[in-house]
Amino acid sequence: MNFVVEDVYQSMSRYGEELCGDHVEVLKKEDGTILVLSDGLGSGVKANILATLTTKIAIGLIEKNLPLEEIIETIIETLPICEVREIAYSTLAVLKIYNDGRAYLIELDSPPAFFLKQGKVQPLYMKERRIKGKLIKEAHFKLELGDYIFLTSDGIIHAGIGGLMDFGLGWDGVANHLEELAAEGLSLNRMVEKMIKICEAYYLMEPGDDFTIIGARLRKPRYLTIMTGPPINPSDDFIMSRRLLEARGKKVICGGTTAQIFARETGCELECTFNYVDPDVPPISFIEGVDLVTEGLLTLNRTLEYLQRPGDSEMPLGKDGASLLARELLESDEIHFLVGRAVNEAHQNLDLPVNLGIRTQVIKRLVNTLKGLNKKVKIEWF
Amino acid sequence: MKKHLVEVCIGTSCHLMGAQDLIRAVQGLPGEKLNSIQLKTVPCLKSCDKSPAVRINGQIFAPITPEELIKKIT
Ligand code: FES
Repeated sequence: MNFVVEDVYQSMSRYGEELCGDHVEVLKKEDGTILVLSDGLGSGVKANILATLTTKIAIGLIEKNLPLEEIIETIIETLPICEVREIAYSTLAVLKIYNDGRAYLIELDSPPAFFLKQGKVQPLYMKERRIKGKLIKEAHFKLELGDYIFLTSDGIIHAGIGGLMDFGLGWDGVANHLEELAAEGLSLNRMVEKMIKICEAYYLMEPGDDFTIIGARLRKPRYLTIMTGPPINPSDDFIMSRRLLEARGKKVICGGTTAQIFARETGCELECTFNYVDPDVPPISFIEGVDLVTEGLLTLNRTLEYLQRPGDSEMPLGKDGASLLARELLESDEIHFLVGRAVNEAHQNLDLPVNLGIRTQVIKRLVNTLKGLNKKVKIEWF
Repeated sequence: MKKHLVEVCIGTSCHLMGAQDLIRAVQGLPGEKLNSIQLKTVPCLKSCDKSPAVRINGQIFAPITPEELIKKIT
């Protein structure tokens, strides 16, 4: 069975520094996810540039499917060496996790990764070799459902130096904390967040170094099916409704008329509300067995706006139909649209900008945006 | 006393044409008047070209203003 790689990362800058000297890049591919972490020498702007360069070069070369030797060689040759200390540039860790759980890890001067199986940190057997005089460690292993892998920068391992501890938390100390967090049964998000907080506390809230942690694990894919728009051919009403009824995972209906069709064809009751959480988004409705029922056009346009908000895929927290829909979409991995193309004559008379008014256009833009967020999307037209 | 059943359409057209104002107008009625009304929302009443639409005791009125609506039910 194929899974989805879930990954979360968080960084903290050294106290007083605005820029972080660690950098993370994530590349989602058809067959899996690649995570790259680099810790630039020192802190501040210079470290930030070094770490960013290192990860960007690495990810660029990985994307081109170049062999590992070439990638490492290029990085070693491209990046400057610190003149004063005569030590190299920045560290590098690259982790590729395939959707079937196979994993491949390379470490170049970075702290050993933490691999948790059944809640316990297990040693990873690293093979060593030298490329251009640099010691490279690599491991092939298998990640199973319930396992975790964490990559860290040394600011995590050294948490506490200058703060609570003389020699810092240490690798074993971090391992213990991760085991404790895993035992609490937290989400990956919360685990990473808590580990950052723990390190910050060891530093007495004034970290002496940048620190970063990346967590990854496998989970089962989450499915979502959305029915929207009445079909051109009314005899498809039943087929479309059945398709939604029998879909696996979550179910959403966008559109009042669509909801009426579904309710009629399946014999379910449609219940409307008049709770205007957001004056611009019509209220949601309820149908038993359907996770979310919203109005169509306006909600879809607003949802698209939320998903396209510059900079991130942060969860909108509102309780209006569009925020709820955006959340369902962001939390899903595979999304199936059932789109009816019957033109709602009434909408033609509305004073809407053309591109807002046409359902198929909104859907197409939504689909493209979702693909950009690494979702698998399928559309079926009716 | 028999209650008036007031069903306000919250479909896309009616939403844009002020369904919210109709709902608010009804909700703003004084207590005893409000008690004689059963307020509901419904999906498209198929009168979008004349939105906003309301169904009062089974009869559709579209378009309708908040004032007209209040007059009809009080
Ligand atoms: S949206 Fe109100 S009548 Fe169609």
